[in-house]
Amino acid sequence: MKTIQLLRTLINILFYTLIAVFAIGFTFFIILYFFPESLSMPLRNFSMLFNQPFGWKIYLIPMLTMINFTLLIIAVFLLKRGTTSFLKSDFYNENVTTSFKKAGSIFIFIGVSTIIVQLFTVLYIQNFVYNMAQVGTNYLLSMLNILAAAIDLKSTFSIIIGLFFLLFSKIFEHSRKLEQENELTI
Amino acid sequence: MAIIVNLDVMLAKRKMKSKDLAEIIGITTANLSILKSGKAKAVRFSTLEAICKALDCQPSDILEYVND
Repeated sequence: MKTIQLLRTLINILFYTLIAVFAIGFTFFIILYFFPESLSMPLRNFSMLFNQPFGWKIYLIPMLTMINFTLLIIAVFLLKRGTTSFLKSDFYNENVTTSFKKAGSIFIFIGVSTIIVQLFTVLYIQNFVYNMAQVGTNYLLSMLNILAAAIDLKSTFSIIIGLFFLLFSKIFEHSRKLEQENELTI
Repeated sequence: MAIIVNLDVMLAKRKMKSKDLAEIIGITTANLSILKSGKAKAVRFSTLEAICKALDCQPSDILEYVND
């Protein structure tokens, strides 16, 4: 029971911290875009983001980070909702299985999307650099470098966590059926 | 469902009330109702034995297989 309470407390802390960070970040970008003159000079420098010459591609990573951050908040909220019934020792209700399933899918999406975007970013940068420098390169070595740069530990861990949650969801669903069967055994 | 529970018939034959049977075999009336309505997923041998003892009958008098 202490483990569940500790888990619940940590999830609550994480959830409200993420909400606070999101709110602060969102407010900052609104002020930066509409009222940059109200900010102090070092912070005002961030407004360069809105008038840079590289086109839409430069926004891809910040946009994905924002989407993934929002999804992370949703995933943590689902975990918070899923663990609520744990406190009442009710492990096998539908709420737990659906919450874990959705949270798992979100974690997998965050991991996979990050890897894909990083892969394209590295490819883009490498092409850009090789076109600029006009140098030849070993294809295999280049691909290995790209893969090593794109598949980072954080994203891989996110996919693994997601798969674990999907597995937990299946286990809880199976357990719920067994519990129902047990209750209906006279 | 392929297995039919004929507990109602046996209770009527023995002129016994569900409540009394539940009391004799040591299960709740709610569980006996689940068993009678065919909603039960399984029956323990100990429960079946107690029912047969209380109603003085065979398992085949209570359970019947019907091909769907």
